[in-house]
Amino acid sequence: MSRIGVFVCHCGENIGRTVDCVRVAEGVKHHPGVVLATDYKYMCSDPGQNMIRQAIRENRLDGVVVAACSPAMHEPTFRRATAAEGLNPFRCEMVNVREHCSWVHEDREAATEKAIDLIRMMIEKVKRNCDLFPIKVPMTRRALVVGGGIAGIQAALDLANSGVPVVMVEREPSIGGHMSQLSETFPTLDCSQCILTPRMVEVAQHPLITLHTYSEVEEVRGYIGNFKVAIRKKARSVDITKCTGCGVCMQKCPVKKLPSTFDAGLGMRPAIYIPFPQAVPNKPVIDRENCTYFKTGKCGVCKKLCGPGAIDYEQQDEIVTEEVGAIVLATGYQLYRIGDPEPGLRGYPEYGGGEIKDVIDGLQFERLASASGPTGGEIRRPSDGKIPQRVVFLQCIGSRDSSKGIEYCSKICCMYTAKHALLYKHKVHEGEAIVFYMDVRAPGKGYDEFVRRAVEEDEVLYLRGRVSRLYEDKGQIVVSGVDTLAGRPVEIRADLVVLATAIRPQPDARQLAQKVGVGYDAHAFYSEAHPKLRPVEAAAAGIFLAGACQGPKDIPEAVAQASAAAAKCMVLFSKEILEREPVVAVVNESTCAGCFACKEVCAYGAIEPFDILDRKGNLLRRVARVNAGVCNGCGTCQATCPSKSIELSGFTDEQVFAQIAALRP
Amino acid sequence: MGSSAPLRAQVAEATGQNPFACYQCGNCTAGCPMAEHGDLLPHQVFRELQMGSDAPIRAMQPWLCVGCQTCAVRCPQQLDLSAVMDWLRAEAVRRGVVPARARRIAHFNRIFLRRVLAAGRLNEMELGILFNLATLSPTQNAQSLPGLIRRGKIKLGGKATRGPGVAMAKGGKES
Amino acid sequence: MRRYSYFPGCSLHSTAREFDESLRAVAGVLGLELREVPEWACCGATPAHALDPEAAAVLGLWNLDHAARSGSEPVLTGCASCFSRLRAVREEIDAHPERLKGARERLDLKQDPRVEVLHIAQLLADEEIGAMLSAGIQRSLAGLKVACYYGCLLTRPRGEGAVDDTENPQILEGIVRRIGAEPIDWPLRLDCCGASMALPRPDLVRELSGRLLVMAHERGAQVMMVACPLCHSNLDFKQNQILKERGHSFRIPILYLTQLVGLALGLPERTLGLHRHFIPVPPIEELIARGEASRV
Repeated sequence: MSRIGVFVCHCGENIGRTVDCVRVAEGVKHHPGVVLATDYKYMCSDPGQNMIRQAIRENRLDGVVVAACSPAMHEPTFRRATAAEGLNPFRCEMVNVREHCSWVHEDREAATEKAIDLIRMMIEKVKRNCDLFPIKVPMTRRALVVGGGIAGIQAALDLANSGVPVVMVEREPSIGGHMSQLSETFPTLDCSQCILTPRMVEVAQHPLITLHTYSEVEEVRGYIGNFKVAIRKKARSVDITKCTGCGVCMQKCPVKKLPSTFDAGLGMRPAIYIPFPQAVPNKPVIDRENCTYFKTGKCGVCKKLCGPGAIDYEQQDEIVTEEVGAIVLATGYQLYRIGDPEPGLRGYPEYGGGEIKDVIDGLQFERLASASGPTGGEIRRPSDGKIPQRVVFLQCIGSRDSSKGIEYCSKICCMYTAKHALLYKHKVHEGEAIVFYMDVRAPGKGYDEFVRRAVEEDEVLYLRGRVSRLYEDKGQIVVSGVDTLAGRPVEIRADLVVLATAIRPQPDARQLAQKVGVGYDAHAFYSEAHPKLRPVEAAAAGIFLAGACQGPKDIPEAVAQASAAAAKCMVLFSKEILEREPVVAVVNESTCAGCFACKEVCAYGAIEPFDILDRKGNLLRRVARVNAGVCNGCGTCQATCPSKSIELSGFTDEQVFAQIAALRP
Repeated sequence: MGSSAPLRAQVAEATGQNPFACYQCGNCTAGCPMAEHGDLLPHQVFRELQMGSDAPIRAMQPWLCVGCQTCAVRCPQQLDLSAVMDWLRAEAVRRGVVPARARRIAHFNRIFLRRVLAAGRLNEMELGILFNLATLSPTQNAQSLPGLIRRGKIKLGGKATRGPGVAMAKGGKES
Repeated sequence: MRRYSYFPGCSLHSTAREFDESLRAVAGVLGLELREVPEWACCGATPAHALDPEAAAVLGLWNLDHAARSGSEPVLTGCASCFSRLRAVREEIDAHPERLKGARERLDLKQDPRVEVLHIAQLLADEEIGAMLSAGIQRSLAGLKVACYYGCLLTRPRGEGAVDDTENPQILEGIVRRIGAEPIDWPLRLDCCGASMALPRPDLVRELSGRLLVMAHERGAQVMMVACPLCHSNLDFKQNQILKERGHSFRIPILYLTQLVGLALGLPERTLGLHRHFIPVPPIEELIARGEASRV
């Protein structure tokens, strides 16, 4: 006969409000095999845990059932307490009477009955639990960082400087990300490039960092501590080991008028190009789609003129495989486009739908304000190059606008708009800067002071209200808005309009998430494991998040999160051997027929064939075997096996059926 | 819901629009062709409702609304203010609180609907005469009559369709 | 031959006779058979749904029901306001049939009329009918600069039954291009003309319609094309007064889309009712010449 203890937690009022915990304990007390049932206000507290430990000791319990919150929250807590008394921790199980009961029901009577049923079921399972022991797997002390923006750079440098080898993958020809496009940074107005480029160089020169630019993650296999990552190194058409970065090819390329992505479409670049002068690596790449040689087979100017012979038209994409123990995702963001929104979002035809030249977005304004930009840092509007005398800034474009499909706040726009207006006033003293806003959200250190400075010292006019429409008229842009504070509609003629468009995840964020195995929200921002207590970890073990791929973030936040993700990797790497939960599939080799239906359905590639030999080495039978290091314990094989030869430890058929049978008819 | 409930709740019930969903961005006002001509800006209609006030029912603004729906198609919160304006007008008539300045418009609407229900089709000439009588200005717009007649744009009499009026008279409901 | 239940509406029988005349004439040339909805009643326009939603529902159901009785052909409208009201009731039948309960009972309707509601612009933009239109063109209006004016009701509310995108419709521009003329780019094509305020608040109509006329003129419009009797009335009937008040000497002829299409199809000006306008429409030769001149 089992000796099971049941512990019912009130979770303060969370469970106790709807579930009569005293009656629940009473209700299961006489269930066969139960020797003790009790309730307590906070089971997870020290006294609560001591209560469990004492009960195990004094009643010689062989099973523990804790009816409380989600096992995702406190299973480790209670299993630790159980283990402390010498009982195998896998003999302790939790029943979730909070999320699955008290939070979702209102009828106290029915909720109490349901809690009793749930606990009875778990008692029957725990009776059939056995001792399980953690699986030990080796650890590859090496990290992959996906994305070479400021978040990826920070994570990579922190890791490498602590002695962890890092592989960095960057999709663009250079690292640096959006930060390299910025002019000056709020709230201190220090030059973005000046603080960023030394770090880019440090990445390139660090002996522990392997840099793959112009590369993308192709496939991720394996599991925490043991990932195998296939990386596609796209063909640059330039052998960067030979290239000296002299730039002759770029000067002589006959195709010169391609819109520069780095200059947000406001500047031009040739078909063979280095995205910007401080690029790392400072080696060009051929844009094959627009290169005359690749389009027509004729030209070849760059190849003829390249002294070191670095131009290689025959270069092919190359797949390299890297083994790492942890992955940091730092893939960053893109901006919402009013004329070409992503599927599922609506654009702003009422603002000209991206067709009005002098209606630009925030990154375009950054390039106009940047000393390295297409206008050399002078604010000149795209249509005719004139210096605008009145600039209107519109906040919340796309953001906080459920009719466009984006209900969230993009967080950084209030600050960068204030910075833009202030930079404009610093550069065009007699000019007029007007900001349409709904709320000013400036809660960072020195942030609100910065906005006040723009208003009070630089006389930026903040106008509370949205703008219904923009249209071009006589070389200006008519802004039809409202001033809700003055209480009247306003019509302003502007020379330039800057839209603070919403921060969006990268266009292929979902595909990468699926390759790596991390969750994401409705917008494809990556999901953290816990919104408060595990903000830089993905739910999948060994994957960490940094920067705007997880949600809109400014530079200091992205950097802080990146350092945190690096620290989390270091915690992981502090162990030589990794212990994994033993909830994995086990094959009964005596009944396995070797059909390998399990191998077909396994999403993790955890099933391998195993040959049973006789003493002379002759093959007797070939059966399936589970690599416990790879198995995720999903149970698909168990459901598939026609001869019932695979069982998931801790979730055997016997246990599950006993649970179901425990439900009163 | 009885008329003792706050106006906000009645609006929500009748139109399905939750005034609390409005975050006062003012986009409706920014796009409204009539915004400046009333006493309450379009976004202030929602504000008053949020505050628990019933000022909108006595306001001029709903009577100036031409139903162009610009507010509705551009509202970031997908609220349909034009539907609320419709309801406010009808409710003001029911309660007998049509503002003095709106009487001309209310008269026009009432005469219009009455003529439609009486004859099924609208005779614009007749509508004009009745409107002039009701607003005690018998000669307004009269200067345009000869031009309209000369161009064959005014018809006297015409075919009637009485079905809808008969249907509306059922159950003694007065419109 | 395509058949339609034709719903003219009150205006097309009086102040907008030329819309009715030109619509029927164009339909005739394109081989579209129109059967007037028997015993149609006023759509209710703005006053009905503003004052008494139930009356508006009764009028809408009545009309759709009478259209459905004579067959399952789509209901065709010319007036943008009738289109908008009929469409609203038609969409209510699918989306919120319970809201029509009172009206249904008053009319003793056993089932809801599920006929399609179309606007003439949708037909003229239809691929097949558009091809017939292209084939039937007799006169070139090439170069004639046309301001397409949508007003508010043609594209609103947003949704399945709308003739085109609410914020950036192109349907009228497409028709203008098909007949060889040139739609101008002007920003006020979706702005309100003042609509039904014409009688109670003519001052507001003069202001709003005045803005439209001035902007269309500034952008080089030689004619303006409309699809709504109320817009036409505000822009044509009131134009002399509006522009005189503003001190402008120019005038812009306001044509219904079926009139402009009819001209291209070679229909006589009188058949299209062009003589009924307050702002005279120049003779077709003159329009052609203006178009030619603006091409140079």
